[in-house]
Amino acid sequence: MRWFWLTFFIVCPIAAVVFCVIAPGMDWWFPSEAGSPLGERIDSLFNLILYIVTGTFIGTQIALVYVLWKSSKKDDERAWFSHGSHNLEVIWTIVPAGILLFIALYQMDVWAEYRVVSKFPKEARKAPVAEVMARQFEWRIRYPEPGRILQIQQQPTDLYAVNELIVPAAKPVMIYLKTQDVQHSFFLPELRVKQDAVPGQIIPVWFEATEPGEYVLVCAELCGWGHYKMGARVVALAEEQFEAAMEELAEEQSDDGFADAGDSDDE
Amino acid sequence: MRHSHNGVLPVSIRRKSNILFVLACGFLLAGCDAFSPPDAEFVVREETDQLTSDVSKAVEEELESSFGNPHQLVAWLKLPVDFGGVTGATEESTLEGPLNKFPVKFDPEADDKFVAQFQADDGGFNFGESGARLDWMTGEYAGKSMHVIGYDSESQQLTTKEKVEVPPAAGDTFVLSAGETLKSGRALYMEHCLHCHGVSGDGNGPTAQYLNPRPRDYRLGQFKFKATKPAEKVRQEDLGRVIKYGIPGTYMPSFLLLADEDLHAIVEYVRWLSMRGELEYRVDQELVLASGLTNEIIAERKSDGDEDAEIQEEVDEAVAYMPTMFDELGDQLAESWLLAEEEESLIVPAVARVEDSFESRARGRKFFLEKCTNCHGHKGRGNGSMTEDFQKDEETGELYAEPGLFDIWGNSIKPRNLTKGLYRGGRRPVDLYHRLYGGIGPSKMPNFATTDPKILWDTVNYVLHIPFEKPGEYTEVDKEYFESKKKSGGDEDKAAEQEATPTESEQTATGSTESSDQG
Repeated sequence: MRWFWLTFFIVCPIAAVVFCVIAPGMDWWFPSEAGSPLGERIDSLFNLILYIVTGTFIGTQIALVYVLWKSSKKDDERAWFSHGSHNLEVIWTIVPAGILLFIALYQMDVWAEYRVVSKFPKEARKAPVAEVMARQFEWRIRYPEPGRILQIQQQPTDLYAVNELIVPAAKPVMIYLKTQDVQHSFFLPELRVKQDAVPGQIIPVWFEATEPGEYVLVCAELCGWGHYKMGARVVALAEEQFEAAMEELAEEQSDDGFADAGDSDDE
Repeated sequence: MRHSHNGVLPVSIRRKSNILFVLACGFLLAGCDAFSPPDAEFVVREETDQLTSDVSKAVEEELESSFGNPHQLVAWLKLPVDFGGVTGATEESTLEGPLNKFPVKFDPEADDKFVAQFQADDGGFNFGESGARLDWMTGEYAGKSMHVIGYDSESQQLTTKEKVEVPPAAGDTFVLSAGETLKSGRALYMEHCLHCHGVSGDGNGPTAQYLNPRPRDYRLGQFKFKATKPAEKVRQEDLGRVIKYGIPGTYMPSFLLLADEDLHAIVEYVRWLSMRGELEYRVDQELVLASGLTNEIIAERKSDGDEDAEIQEEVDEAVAYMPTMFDELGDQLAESWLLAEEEESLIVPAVARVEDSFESRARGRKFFLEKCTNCHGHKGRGNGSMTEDFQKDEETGELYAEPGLFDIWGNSIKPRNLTKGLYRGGRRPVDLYHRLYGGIGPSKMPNFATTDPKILWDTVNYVLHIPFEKPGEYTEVDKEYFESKKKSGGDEDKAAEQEATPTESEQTATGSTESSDQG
């Protein structure tokens, strides 16, 4: 039994090292590679923490195995009882505190850029693309008319969509996040964005999709029996296509059904 | 004592915990069974239940044979539903039996469907493990089915699992994988819709009780948001829009992410459920109102001295007539659903939208004051006087127990509060035009099909602008309207209405010149 535990506690840190080394390369922790510049920085923070935690884990495992190994050799010796060591306690308080402080300071600029409105990229802050209203169980979206700025209040010229947020790609964009009923959470796993929508609040959120494409948008806050239905998509389009899509939406929304009939008569 | 007990205790605890563990596993497994969903079945209408037992049994049997049950669907080809499948016919061939290969030609429109349905990734055709079902429609094998396991696109030959002595004659028609769309519609419906709308589409799924407004009961064949003329049924496209974009202000969410063919399958399944429900409803109406074959009426007649034999004869007659009745009513239903898809059923505005200006909205406001305030209220807040009155139930002729408005399903409803900017049937101008022109039959909103389309557009402009109305914006318009009403005959509404019509046309005339000036 002794040898079993000994091997067990040696194998664990070795396995941990192996997993830690191959995991980031295998995309095991994340849903695909980060699709945004800030997402990449968040990932590298995550990886840093992963390495620190792995190092700590290995250190403590080595200490544990050492103790097991040493005491396993002495069958007849009784264990001694310790009332604590002041020096040791100081060390194991200061070292982790130092590591935590380092992480706290090191991630601050990423955190600020992600959450603090005044640190948002200026071009995103100037022109929010849309208001995203979460509700049980869908995402209702309000865009300003092309050429106008989104207002907090509804405007007669606003454009509306549901479950599909179109944004320009390769530039930072900002949305206003709201909820109509309970708490929801605006989650773009590929872009590493997650922000709760809180009743009564208008929360600015910014992100940037590096590549044009479709990204998953889901609700990450259990919001009721239909929580699983709140799947939607974010479509990032190249600037020109984005403008064209907005024009198309504007045209669709002002459809009076009359021109259609005229067209089909002509054909 | 205590000490010795303590010595024994750990053992008994362990035993107990073993038993507990076994029990817990047992409960877990039993729990899986206890909470597994009950067998899905189509519920029977209350009216069918009230029929005398022989008749209600006949109705249920006939329904089962025409529509099947949720596990075994029946495609009643009379109904204008895309049940799915690929049609084609056999070609002339010199092959002789016994054989399991014969040349075929798919119908032109079915050709694409064939490829889409069976094309495998490697370019060949994939018919699944047991083969795709092939049903013969005409010829020697009509009514029989075989299983297709291969197709050679060069020689255009189908290979079947079964060998036949006599090859099918040239021109025999068949359907390959019949009912595929309906089946996939069923699976999708069970996944996405059932928990509110119920297995039978009666709007009574497990989550329905928590919702207000209630989920739609399809079984009357009536839908609120459609682009067809007042008397017509809903179109596939209308249902598709509702599913795709949801209904803001209700619990109906958007299913935008569904693939087009999935959306189509759900629409077809919902239409099919609706036809099934409406057929049962109509049959019941006939048997209850025209024939009076309910338990209650029969008991009454018996107590009045009618002879049993006479009543039994009537019952037997009704039972014998059942298949014919289903056939005839089925034909009528099929016709009405087909008609809805025709171009002439679609509401197409006769004129383009009138330019959105204050003048246009003012004319819309006048129309609103004249026709809409009883329900929607003076300010469009949905609090008109009708919401305070007791209304009459058209079916029973009695007043409802509660004041306010009721829809044809008997649910208490509120006229839309137009200041919120929420438009359940869509917010495009054409959507609002459809609501005005076609009315919303099931909620008893009247239609304005005979109103001047320009006035309808004015009203659309006004309604779309209500959420952005400035205080007092229409004070002058209101004053003018009420003064002209007073002048023309005081408090009598009829007189006011008669007088209002010429005023309106005058307004239209001046309005259109103004807008043309602007343009």
